[in-house]
Amino acid sequence: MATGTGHARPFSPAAYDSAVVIDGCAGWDDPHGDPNEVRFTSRAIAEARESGETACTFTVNKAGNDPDVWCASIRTIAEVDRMISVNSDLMLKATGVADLHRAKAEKKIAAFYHVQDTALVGSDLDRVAVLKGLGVRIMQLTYNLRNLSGDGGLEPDNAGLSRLGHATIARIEHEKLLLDLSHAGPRTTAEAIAAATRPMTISHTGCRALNDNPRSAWDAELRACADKGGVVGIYWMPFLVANRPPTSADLLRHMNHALDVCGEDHIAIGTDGVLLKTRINGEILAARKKRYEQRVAEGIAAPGEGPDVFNILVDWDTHMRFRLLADGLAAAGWNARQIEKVLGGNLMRLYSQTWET
Amino acid sequence: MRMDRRHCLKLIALAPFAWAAAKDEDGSVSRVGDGEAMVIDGQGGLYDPYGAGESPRFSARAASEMAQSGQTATSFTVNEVGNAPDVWDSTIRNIAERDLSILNNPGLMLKATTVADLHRAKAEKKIGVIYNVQDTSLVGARLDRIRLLKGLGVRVMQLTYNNRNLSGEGCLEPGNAGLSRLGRATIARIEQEKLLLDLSHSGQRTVAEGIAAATRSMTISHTGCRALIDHPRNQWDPELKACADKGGVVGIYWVSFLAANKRAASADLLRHMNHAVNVCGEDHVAVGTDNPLFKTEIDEKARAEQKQIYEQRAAAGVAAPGEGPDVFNIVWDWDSHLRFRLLADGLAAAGWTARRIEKVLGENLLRLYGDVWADDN
Repeated sequence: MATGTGHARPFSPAAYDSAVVIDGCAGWDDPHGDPNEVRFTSRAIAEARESGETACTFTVNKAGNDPDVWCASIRTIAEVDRMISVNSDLMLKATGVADLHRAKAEKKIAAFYHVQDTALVGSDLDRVAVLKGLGVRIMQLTYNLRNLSGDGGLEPDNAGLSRLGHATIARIEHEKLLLDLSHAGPRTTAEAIAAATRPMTISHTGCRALNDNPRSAWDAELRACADKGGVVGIYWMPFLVANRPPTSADLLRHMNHALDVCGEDHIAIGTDGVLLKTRINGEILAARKKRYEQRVAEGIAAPGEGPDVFNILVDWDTHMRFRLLADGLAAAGWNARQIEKVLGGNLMRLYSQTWET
Repeated sequence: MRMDRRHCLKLIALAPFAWAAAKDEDGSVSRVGDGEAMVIDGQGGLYDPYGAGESPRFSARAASEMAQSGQTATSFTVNEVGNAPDVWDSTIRNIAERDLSILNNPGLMLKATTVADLHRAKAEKKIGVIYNVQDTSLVGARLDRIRLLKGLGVRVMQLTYNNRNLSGEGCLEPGNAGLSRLGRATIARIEQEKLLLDLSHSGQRTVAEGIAAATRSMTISHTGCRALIDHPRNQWDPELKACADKGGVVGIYWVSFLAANKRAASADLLRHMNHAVNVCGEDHVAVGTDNPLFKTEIDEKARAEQKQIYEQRAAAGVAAPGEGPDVFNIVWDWDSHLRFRLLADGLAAAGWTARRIEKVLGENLLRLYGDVWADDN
């Protein structure tokens, strides 16, 4: 078990260089360039390379139950495809574990496509296969609200899976895509884990036992996910702690708790943040406020979100965030093997099990 | 009111005359017998089974049977149910087709959107066609569509249909979920638009929470008593009573779910009617047959059609237990265009007063429609 022992050493540079580092739920923003410019700045590319990140996910869907979410998601996939091809010196579109190794060898970032919600699929389950064809590899069942398959974490009713929800999970598994239960309510999470026949992920969550926020998961669900061979990613989000911005110490508390509950083979990173330093200025604050108000209007803002709240840890908001994490875990007493697993080894194993067996 | 036997004969054709036993407490005979009663099927069907080819005009035989039926109004389903992405578009198409059908048969029917239309239908000896949708999946998160449906003439909106939708649970879902947040907003919008909320086909918790959330009267337009037959399409007494307690009306259907042997007879229907009146009170029970207006001729063609419908429903996951390729929505010994006449007689023979029969035949629904649709409340 990991506890601060006082004599831990930093994670070695050589070990960090050889580690596979995967952010199981991420976004991308180039803070140094024009937000409307598709091509990344050379500074952003340099920082991304320096970060040591091997792979991350890109969320390519529009969440929610609006009738246009399918079309909007297809459009987003086309845009992300283009972004990657314009920046192919840094990124590659990844659909398998071989792409991860290639990215590591070529010092690029492998981008896996993630949809957060099955509202865009609804009862037309063939769309799961279409999404797979377009490169999606991770499918999250619900997003905060109820959809036709199950309940999101913000639904007070806390319903379980519908009949369609069972069929949706079966189809996701049939297509060998990774089932993600982030953003689901407790009963939907528990029933989906029970219904699943393959390992799954809760790609970006926290430990609800430490801070009772509906976006985090209770120990029983975290443990059930691990017991089925799944992996729980801990997010770098305001939900880690109540009433103040979270710090690295909060993250480490959640990592330690998840380690205790799930075991070292079943935890990972899922920041839900961006890799490079978060750009915050007047314009971005205004946009953030507008986006927050939209989320409130749509009923999808979780407690802890706010007009000026960003998905960052105030002391680790830098492109070296995963290097800082490795050192922070080492300082907290984690051994090198545990750190390597959490940085990416566990997700790589899960991806391989899900997509390739 | 006095009865006029000749007038009665003309209207009710071959119906038996047990209605003569239905007297008010003061000894006067029901208006049912002389064709004065308001007769409303809270969930009906109106396709011409005798029509030739593609003619949009109803056949002479259908027209004659409609006149004989004594029906004043029928609530007609215009939507496609289920969660397929195209249900909105197909529903708009259905509405257009039904509008055209009514337009092509102006002597037989009228599109009813107000209580005044129902009185006009009665006066003009036509059938008032009330549009309903059975499911809010076609609305989903776009609640403005409720207003659009109202604009197109829909007056009754059922929250769910057998499966889960975004608002709540259909009765075939083992999860028995309650309302979602959207479900509460959907009910509020239905009420704001002064449409009638229908909780048929919902699961138990969604029914209970739907009634509790409602601020106006609602209906369970076509159901049965689960205390008599434990079938998921039937409702338990607490939900039936809760609906009545909010001023609502429960319609009893004429389908296989009334009977343990899947072959519902008039005796089964009367048992459910009696139970419903005991639970809800006579002001809160109605008829929602889920039958066509005409007799279902069970021949080879009908069997082939039912088999196809059943297989489609089974494939779509909306077939309830007890549905089958050879199960028809009828009460077998009352399968006639005169079914309401037969019902009135049956209820009279069962000892119901004329007043109670009139309420159940249509007055309760007329009152509910008036309460809910009125623009000034």
